[in-house]
Amino acid sequence: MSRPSDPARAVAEQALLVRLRAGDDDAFAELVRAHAGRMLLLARRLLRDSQHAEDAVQDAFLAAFRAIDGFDGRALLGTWLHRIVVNSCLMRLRRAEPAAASIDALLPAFRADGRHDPAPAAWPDPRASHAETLALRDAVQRALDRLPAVYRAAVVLRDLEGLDSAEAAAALGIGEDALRQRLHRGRQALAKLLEPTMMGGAL
Amino acid sequence: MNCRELTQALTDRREGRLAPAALAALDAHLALCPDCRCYVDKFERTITTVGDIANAPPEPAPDALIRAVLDARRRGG
Repeated sequence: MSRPSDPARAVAEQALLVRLRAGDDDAFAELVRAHAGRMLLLARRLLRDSQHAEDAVQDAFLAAFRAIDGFDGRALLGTWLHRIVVNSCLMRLRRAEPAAASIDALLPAFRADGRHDPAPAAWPDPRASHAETLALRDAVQRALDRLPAVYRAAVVLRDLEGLDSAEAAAALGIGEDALRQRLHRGRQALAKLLEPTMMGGAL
Repeated sequence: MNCRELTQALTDRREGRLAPAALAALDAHLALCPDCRCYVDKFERTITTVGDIANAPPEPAPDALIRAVLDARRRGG
């Protein structure tokens, strides 16, 4: 995760932090405008409901405002807010999508002797026009939405947000082995869910 | 190693968590199995494709959300 290695940025963050701690309304407005879009995008990826995502972002900001005096400045504000919105989303996820829905139907199937059944069909080479990139982005979001919540959270934190296994496991409150298992099943299920798109239809 | 075991080992392989013997068995199976080479391609492209959407720049948050956050703070939320 990023740390304040850029000196100019570190100085600007420090100045903003001083104003935040002094209760400067404009400083809070700056903070929210600078980070809300990024936080909302993350929340929408973790939670399939847009309204829940907005609520999670609001909760996260309010939690951050309350905790601003304890923020030690070792991480960037954006990194710190990222962590808070992840927690806020995971709390909602546990409430809104509690049951661990089965993922088995989305995993590959095998014959008794361990061979693929059916044999996997190759994906054609990717196309790369701008419109197709946008359509692919939508298809990925829809596929993520169809993943059971625990697998979605593992994939979003690792493969989208770039946390390492230790960070993602800590955020989810599980061990690294369990994290890797959820991540692996989530990736396999996504491969299946993306199949129609990648085969060239249904963009 | 059979196809089932190979597909189950792909995340561990990416994370560098396979023992040398398991890695050698995986490579040996892969060299002989077109189905698994196909599956590995799809698995890896899935991860790349998902990672690509991470680079999409976020849209600005709706003004209503920004106002709601700032209003809640002023109310002492």
